Amino acid sequence: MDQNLKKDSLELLTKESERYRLERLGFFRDIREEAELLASSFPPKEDETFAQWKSRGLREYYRHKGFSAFCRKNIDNPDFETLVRTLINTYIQKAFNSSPRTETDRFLAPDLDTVSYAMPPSLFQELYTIYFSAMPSFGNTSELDRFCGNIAGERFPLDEARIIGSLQENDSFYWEKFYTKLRPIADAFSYQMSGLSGNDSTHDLWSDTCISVNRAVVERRLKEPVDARAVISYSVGTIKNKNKELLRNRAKAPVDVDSLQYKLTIEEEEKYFNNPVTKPENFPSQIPSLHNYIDYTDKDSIQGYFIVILYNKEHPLHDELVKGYEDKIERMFEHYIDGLSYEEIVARHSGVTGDRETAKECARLRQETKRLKKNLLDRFHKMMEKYR
Amino acid sequence: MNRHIDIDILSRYLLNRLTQDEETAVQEHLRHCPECAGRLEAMRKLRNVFFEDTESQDRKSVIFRIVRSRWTKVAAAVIIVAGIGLFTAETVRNRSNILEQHEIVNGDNPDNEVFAVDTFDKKDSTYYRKKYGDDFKF
Repeated sequence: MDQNLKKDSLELLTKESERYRLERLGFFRDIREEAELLASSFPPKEDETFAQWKSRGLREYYRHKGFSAFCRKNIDNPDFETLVRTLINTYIQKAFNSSPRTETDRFLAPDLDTVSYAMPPSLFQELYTIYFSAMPSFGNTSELDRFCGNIAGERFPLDEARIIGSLQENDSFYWEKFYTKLRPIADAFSYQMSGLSGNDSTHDLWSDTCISVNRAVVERRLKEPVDARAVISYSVGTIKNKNKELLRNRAKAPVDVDSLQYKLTIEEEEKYFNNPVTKPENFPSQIPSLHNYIDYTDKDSIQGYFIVILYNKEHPLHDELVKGYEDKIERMFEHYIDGLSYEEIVARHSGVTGDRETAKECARLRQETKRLKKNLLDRFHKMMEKYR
Repeated sequence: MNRHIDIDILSRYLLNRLTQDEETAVQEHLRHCPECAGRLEAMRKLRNVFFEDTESQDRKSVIFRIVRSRWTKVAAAVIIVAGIGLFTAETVRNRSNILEQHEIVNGDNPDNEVFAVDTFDKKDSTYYRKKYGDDFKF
């Protein structure tokens, strides 16, 4: 059999397995055997381009392997559910990146984040029950992919009313995003009104505001119909009142309590929303590539992202990840990527001679590599927490 | 495609962040560009080293290596043989004891064969007769 054809088939199926987790789901066990099957049973026809062969070959391969029955059998498999969630999330992310910012996001989501194009676990379960309880027939992975794309297209962006309803039901997923949204706003107002600056100084004011807004919304104290603008207006009003209260306590400036209002003026809106000045430094959303890559709910995505940061020297987070370990990483790459043995690496770098010395150096390098792997993963997890 | 694939595109390919058409274009490039294929392979190797090796193969190394080891098979065989031997020896010894205790001579004779030995003896019978009266019969 043509070696190139085997290589192409292997790459196609490796990608399919990475994207649709076929090996993990148990669709096949040995990817090399499957690649041989694809190459031998469904080879390219004459005058068929690579893209045409890929489309036809994979379609016939999946039919041959009974992909449709496999999906039906795995309807209750948590790994299959995770796959579906990831596929839908990918489409939602794409839609978010290519759509204008919704009004709901403008008022309720942190900068560059979204509530309109987000799928909390409860919503996913609802959608999975609606769309997958009677498992549709998927002839191949492309059909499953398209189906998930259609779900994302039909259901997102979410209605404002639904998001407000979730806030009223005290859904922590939305509240956490909204609290994050409030943080820079609280900082900006506090700085302007009472001269407070820095996270420590404004933390109490911000957390009091969060509690107050949460109670008002959950206890249905806002005037119906409640919308995103009403929630943010109430929040800004609360922040202003707390600042005024702070000033009154300081007795630096008299405050006309009657003039307190819970309305967001156009001037304030322009001044404090989407204003780069109000963005705290190193705010997670300042790293543009973070949200393009990572899906925090998906382990595979997090792991893949780690590899990308580690390997891609141009990535904005690369330096932060590898700082202080540059030489060790180079040796680790030589071992794991270039396939050099520890002896060869020792000979290349340290110039140690003598069997005993070399053996000692190799043992040290082996230990060092093991520790390095752990240290890098630990650092990555800290970075994820920081930029989340 | 003459130029190499941008590392960002290759990263997105690895992370399944490309559209189907973009993915096909990358695959078409990879067929003819060993350098890009090598970079992709390097990222996949690293992923295996960091995650599949640590998660599954470490588990495998502890459990599967023990299970699949030749020494485990030898040990299992020794335990089975020793178990059978011990059971046989114990059975023979018990049988001899029973024959001795009950003074059964010529135990191989079918008439004298011991199927089960009741340990309820005459002393017990006297005890129960005292306790429950003459209705108790032995």
